[in-house]
Amino acid sequence: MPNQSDLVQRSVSGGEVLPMERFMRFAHRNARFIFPAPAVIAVALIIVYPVIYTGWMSLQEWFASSLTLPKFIAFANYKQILTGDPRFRDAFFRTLYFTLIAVSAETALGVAMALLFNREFWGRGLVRTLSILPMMATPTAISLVFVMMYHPTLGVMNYLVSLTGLSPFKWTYSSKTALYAIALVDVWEWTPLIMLIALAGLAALPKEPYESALIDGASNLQCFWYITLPLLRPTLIVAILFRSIDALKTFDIIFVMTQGGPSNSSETINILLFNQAFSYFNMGYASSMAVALFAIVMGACLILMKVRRVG
Amino acid sequence: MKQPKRNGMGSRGVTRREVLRLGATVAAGAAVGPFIATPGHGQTFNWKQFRGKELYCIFYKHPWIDEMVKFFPEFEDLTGMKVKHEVLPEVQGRQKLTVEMTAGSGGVDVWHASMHVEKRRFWKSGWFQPLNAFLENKSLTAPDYDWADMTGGAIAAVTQPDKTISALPTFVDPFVLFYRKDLFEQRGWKAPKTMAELEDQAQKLHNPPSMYGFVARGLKNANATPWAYVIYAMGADYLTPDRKSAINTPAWVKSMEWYSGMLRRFAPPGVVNFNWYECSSAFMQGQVGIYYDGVNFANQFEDKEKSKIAGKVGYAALPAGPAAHFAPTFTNAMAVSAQSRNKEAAYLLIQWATTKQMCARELLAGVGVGRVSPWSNAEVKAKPKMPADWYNAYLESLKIGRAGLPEIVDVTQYRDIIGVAIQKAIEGAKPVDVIAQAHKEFQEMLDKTEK
Amino acid sequence: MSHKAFRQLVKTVGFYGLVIIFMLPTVFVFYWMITLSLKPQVEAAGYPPSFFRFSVTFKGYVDVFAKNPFLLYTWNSLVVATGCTVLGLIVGLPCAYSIAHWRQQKLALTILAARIIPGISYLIPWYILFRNLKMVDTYQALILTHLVVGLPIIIWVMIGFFEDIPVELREAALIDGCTDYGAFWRVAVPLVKPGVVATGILSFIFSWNNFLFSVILAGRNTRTLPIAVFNMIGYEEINWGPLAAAATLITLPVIILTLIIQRHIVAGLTFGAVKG
Repeated sequence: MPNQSDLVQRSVSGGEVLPMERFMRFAHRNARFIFPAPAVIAVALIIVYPVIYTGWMSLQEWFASSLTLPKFIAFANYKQILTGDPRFRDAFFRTLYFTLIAVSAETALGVAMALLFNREFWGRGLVRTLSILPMMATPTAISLVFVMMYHPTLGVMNYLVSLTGLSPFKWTYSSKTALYAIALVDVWEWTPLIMLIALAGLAALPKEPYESALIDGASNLQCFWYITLPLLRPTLIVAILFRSIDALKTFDIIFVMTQGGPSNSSETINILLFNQAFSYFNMGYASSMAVALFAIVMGACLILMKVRRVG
Repeated sequence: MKQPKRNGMGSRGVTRREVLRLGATVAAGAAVGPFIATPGHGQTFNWKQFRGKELYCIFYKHPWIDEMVKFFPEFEDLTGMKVKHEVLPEVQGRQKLTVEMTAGSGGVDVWHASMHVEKRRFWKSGWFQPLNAFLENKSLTAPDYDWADMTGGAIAAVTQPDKTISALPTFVDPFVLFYRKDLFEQRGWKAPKTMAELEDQAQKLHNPPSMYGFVARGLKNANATPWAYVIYAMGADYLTPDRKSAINTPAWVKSMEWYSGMLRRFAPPGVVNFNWYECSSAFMQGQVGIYYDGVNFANQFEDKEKSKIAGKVGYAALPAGPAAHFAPTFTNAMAVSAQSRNKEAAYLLIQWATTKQMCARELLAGVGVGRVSPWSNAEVKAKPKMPADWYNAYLESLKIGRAGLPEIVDVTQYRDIIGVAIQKAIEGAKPVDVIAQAHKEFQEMLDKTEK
Repeated sequence: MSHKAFRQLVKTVGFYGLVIIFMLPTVFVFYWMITLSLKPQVEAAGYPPSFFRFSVTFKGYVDVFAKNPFLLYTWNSLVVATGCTVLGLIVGLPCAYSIAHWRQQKLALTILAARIIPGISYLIPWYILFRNLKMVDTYQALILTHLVVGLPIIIWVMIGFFEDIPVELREAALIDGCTDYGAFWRVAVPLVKPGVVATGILSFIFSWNNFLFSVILAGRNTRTLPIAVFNMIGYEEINWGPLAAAATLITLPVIILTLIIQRHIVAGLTFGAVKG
C-alpha cells in the first residue's frame, strides 16, 4: 500500500516536484508546528485583546464614565494593592487557605473514589455517572439549594445534625464557619473532577508492573504505593493543577452564599475584584487586581509543574 | 424634638408637601427646579411619531416589570414601534448594563434604574439622558401626562443636584413593619408606635426556639437599607452640610447599639448572614413575630401557597424613634440611555410606562407607584389586592418617606462599609469601635470619589 | 459457608458499603433538590423538613416551561457545548500530542494562561470586540469563548496520556512507513481513548454550565440553559419549585451523555503491542 513517504521518494527521483508534494514535504518536516498551530492560533486570537486591554487598563484610573477618559497613573494601582490595601492582603491569604483545604480534600476523596470504582462491578455505569452529577449541576442553583440547606433554623443540614445529638452549626451564617461551609460545598461539587481524571488515568495504566509485582508477592497496599501512585502522579498533578486554578478563582458559590461575608470572612480575591469592577466601577484598580490574581495563579501553576517534573 | 436638617435639594422626600398633594391639590413643586407642568395647547403630540423604530431594554427582575411587559403589545400598537427587552436578576442585569455602557455600544435604549444605587454614579458617568427638555417639549410629552402628579419624594429621587431629571419614577419602595396580627391580638397589643414599644414587644414575644421576637437583614450591603430607618429615627444623618462623613456621632453609635442589639437578642441564630430571603422565609414559616423590609414582600405573605401565616399579618408604618419619625424609601425609575440612538423614541416608551393609566394597572396588581392619583382610583379602591392596612401603611410611610441612602457617587461602597460594621457588631464587636472604623473608611472613600 | 466464601462475602458487602457511603452526599443533595422541585413553596422552606411525606405538585416544572423558552435554551446549550467540545478535541488532540512528543513546554503554558485569566477580565474587551465584529448573539461567539475554557483542560490532560505512550510504539509506527500524522491518528489516539472520553465530558460540562459569558455575549436567540435557573430568582422572592425544577432538568442531557460514553473509560486498551 503506497503511503506518503513512497510518494515523496518517487517524486524526488522522478522529475518535477508538484505543488501537492511540496506541500506534503513541508507538512512532514514541520509537523511539530502544524500540529499545535490551530489550537494556539485560536487561543491567541481570543485572548490577545483582553490581555492588552486589561494590562492597559491596570495602568489607568477610570470609573467607567462616558464623560471622563481614563487617566494614566502608571503603577500606582499596583503599589496600592501591594502596600496600601489590607483588604486585598487578607483576601490573598484567605484565597490561598481556601484553595489548600478544598483541593486537598478533593484530591484525597477523588483518588479514593477512583480506586474504588476502577473495577468491574454490578451497577458500575450507573454509579460512575451518578458520582459525576455534582459537577454537572449549575453552580448557582446548587449554591442556592445549599443556602437554604444551611439555614440555621429552617435548614435540613441542622435537622440532620440534630438527629445525631450535636448542637446546630452556623454553617455560612457566622464569620467563623462561613469559609469552611463554603469549602464543603466546593468539595462536594468538584471532587468528581479529580475522580474522573484519576479514573481515566487508572484505566490507562499498563498491566505488566502489576503482574510482575504479584508474581513477586507484593500486597495490594504495596502495589498501590509503589506502582499505582507513581504512575498516576503526572495525571493526578494535572487534575490538581486545574482544580487549584479554579479554586483560586472561585466566585459563583461564594457570591451566592455569602457575597464574601459575614464581615468579609469569605472574601477571596475574585470576589473583591468583582466588587471593584461592577459595584465600585473602579475599572483601573480592578484590572490591576486581575493582573495580580493572574500572577498568583500562574505562580501556583509553575510550582505544581515543577513538582510534576520531578521523578 | 429635633428637626431633621435638610441636606440641599433633592436629598430626601418631602413630608408636609406630600400631605397637601394627597389632598389632590396641585402644588407648584418648587423642589423640582425650573420645570413647570402645564397642559399642552393643541394636539402637537402624536404617539405614532416614531413609527417603525426598534428599542432595546434591559430590565432587572422586579414586580413592576412583570406587570409592565404584559402591556408591551399595547404600546407597540399605539406607537408602531417594536420593543425588545431582556430581564435578568439585578446583579447580572446591572453587570450586563455596565458592560454595554462601558463599551459605549449604544445598544441599550432604556433600562429600569434603581435610583438608590445608580443615581449619582450613572449621572457622573454620563449614562442618563437628561429628560428636562423632553418633558417640556409639547410634541414629545402627552398633554395628560401630568408630571405634577408624581409624589414629591419620587421627583426628588430622580432629580440630580444640577436639577436635571434623569428618569421617570415608577416604584417607590418604603420600608414598613410586618407583625403577627394574631399574636398581637392575643395579647391585646396594637402595632408599636415607638421604637421602645417595638423593642418591648419583641422581647415579650421572644421564646426560642419556637418563636423569635424580631428579624431584619444582617447580610452586608443588604443590611444598609433597613439600617437607614434606625439612623433616621435616632436623628442621625449621612453627611455634614459640607458633605463630609457624619458617622462619628453618638447617634450612629446608639443606632448600632439598637440594631445589632435587637438582632443579637431577638433574632434567629445566623441572622448575621440573613438576606431578605432568609428573613422572609423565617417570617412566613411562622418563626418570627416582627419583621421589617420593603413594602412589596406583603405579596408573598398573603399567598397561601407560599406562606404559613397568610391572613395573619399586620402592616404598619415603622414606629417613631427617639429623635424623629421617618420611613426610608427607595425609588425605581425608567431611564433613557445617553448613548441611545433613538432617544426621543425611547422617551415615549418610558413616558407610556409611567402614565396614570399604567400606574393604576400596577397598583391593581399590588405594586406601589410614585404617583398620587392612582391611589384614589375607583377601581383600585373597589378590588384591592392587599389588605386595607397594607395600603394605609404604604401611604403613611410615603408621608413620612425619606430617601434611604446617601446621595453620593459610590453608594455601593458605603453599603459595604456600613454592612461589614453591622455584621461585626452583631457578632459581638463594640458599636463604638465599629462606628469609628466605618467613619474612617467612609471619609476615605468620600475623599476619593466625591471630587 | 466455607471460610473462603465468607471472606468473599465480607469483602463484597464491605465494598458496596463503601460505595454507598461515598455516594450518599451526592445522592442526598440531588434527592433534596428533586423534592424541592416537587414541593409547593410553603413546604420548600418548611421545618422540620419533609423527606418522604409531602404534597407533590408539578407546578414547578410547569412554571419552568411557561416562563422560559426551555426548548430553545436547551437547543442553544447543546449547539454551543457540542460545538466547543468537538472543536476543542479536533484542535486540542494534535496540540497535546505535539507538546507531549516534542516537549513544547512554552506552548503548554501559553494555552494554560487562557484558563488562568479571571473570567471577568474577558467581559468588556470581548464585548467590544464582538460588537464591532457584529457577532453578538451568535453561536460562533459563544463557541469561541467557551473554547477558551475547554481547550486548556483538553490539552493538558491529554498531554499526560500521550506522554504515557511508550516511545517504542511510535518509532515502530514510523518504521512501518507512517508519517507523524499517521502515527498520531492510527497509533496514538486509539490508545488514549479513556482520556479523550474524560476530557470530552469535562469540556462539555464546563460549557454547559457557563453562565458568565452567556449573560454578556448571548442575546435572545442564543441564550443558554443556566439563565432558566436565574430567571427564577426574583426581586423579592426565590421560587424554589421552578428553580429546583430548572436545575434538575438542566442536568438531564449531561447525565444521558455521560451514561452513554463513560463505558469507554476502561482498562485494557494498552500496551500488549510493545512486546510483539
